[in-house]
Amino acid sequence: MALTKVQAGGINLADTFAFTGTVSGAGGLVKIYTQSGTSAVSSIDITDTYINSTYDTYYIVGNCLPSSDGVGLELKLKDSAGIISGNTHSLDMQMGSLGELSDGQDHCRLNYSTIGNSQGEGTQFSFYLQHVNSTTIPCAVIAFGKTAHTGAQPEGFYVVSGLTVDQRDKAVKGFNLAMSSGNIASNNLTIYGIVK
Amino acid sequence: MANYNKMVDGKIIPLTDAEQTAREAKEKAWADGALDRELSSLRKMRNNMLAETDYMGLTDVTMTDAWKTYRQELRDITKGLDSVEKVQEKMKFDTETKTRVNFPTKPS
Repeated sequence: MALTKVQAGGINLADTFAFTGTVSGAGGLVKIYTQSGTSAVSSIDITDTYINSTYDTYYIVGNCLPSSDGVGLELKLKDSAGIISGNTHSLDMQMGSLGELSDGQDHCRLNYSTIGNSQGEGTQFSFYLQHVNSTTIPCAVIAFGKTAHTGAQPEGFYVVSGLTVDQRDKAVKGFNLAMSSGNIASNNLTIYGIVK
Repeated sequence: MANYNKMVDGKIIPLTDAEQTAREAKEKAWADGALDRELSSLRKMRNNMLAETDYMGLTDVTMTDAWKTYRQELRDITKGLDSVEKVQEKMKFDTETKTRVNFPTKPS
């Protein structure tokens, strides 16, 4: 008889089980991609191989160390044609009691002050991409993170960002991360899909 | 000169010539904006420090001359700073004392 229900005491919790099935009907985070790089690159591009219609909300956790000192980390969203260019990204950022507001630039920013390039500096961030597939609601980027700028000074920030209202017809198919100048010396990035 | 590389879905590939041209233009714009950027950073720090003492301007608080001088020096902090090096020297941070050694001294 097929097992349809695990009875109390019917499973040895001290054992190790290799789970190979697929969970359906449950919400939660699904890890879909991870990368780690130690070669300098000018940008990190994630395509629709990972950001697509499978999920409508994605959670990204990463870290980038710049090659150059005193730069910023810029996030640009992509649609099926590539990077959504022009003044298409808005930004409302807060760091301590300070803030910045912009409703038209070509990127979102994942730092407040500049980022240092010594070991242990860089920026550690995470962000949600929301309404990725909507063509009536602009994709939102809800990000927060910790940076260290030159001289190892720590800074925390959060930023509510994303596409401007007039870009609401664009379904997002990836993103691009690049420093405002110079290369990304090393990085790691993990992408999760959030099941509705 | 070889083109920069980019990482696409974890794979390292060279930029196209058009991407390389765009990248070089961005690098030039970044370099050209260095002084404005440094001054902007300095103003952010200065504004934060001014905001910390804004309450002294309330009608039920008497601001001493020392605090008035301190706040005026903060407002004047960008005067005469016409190079990146001068701004960076002004923002110099001592990691031991956790202070900006060339900023006005806060009254005790």
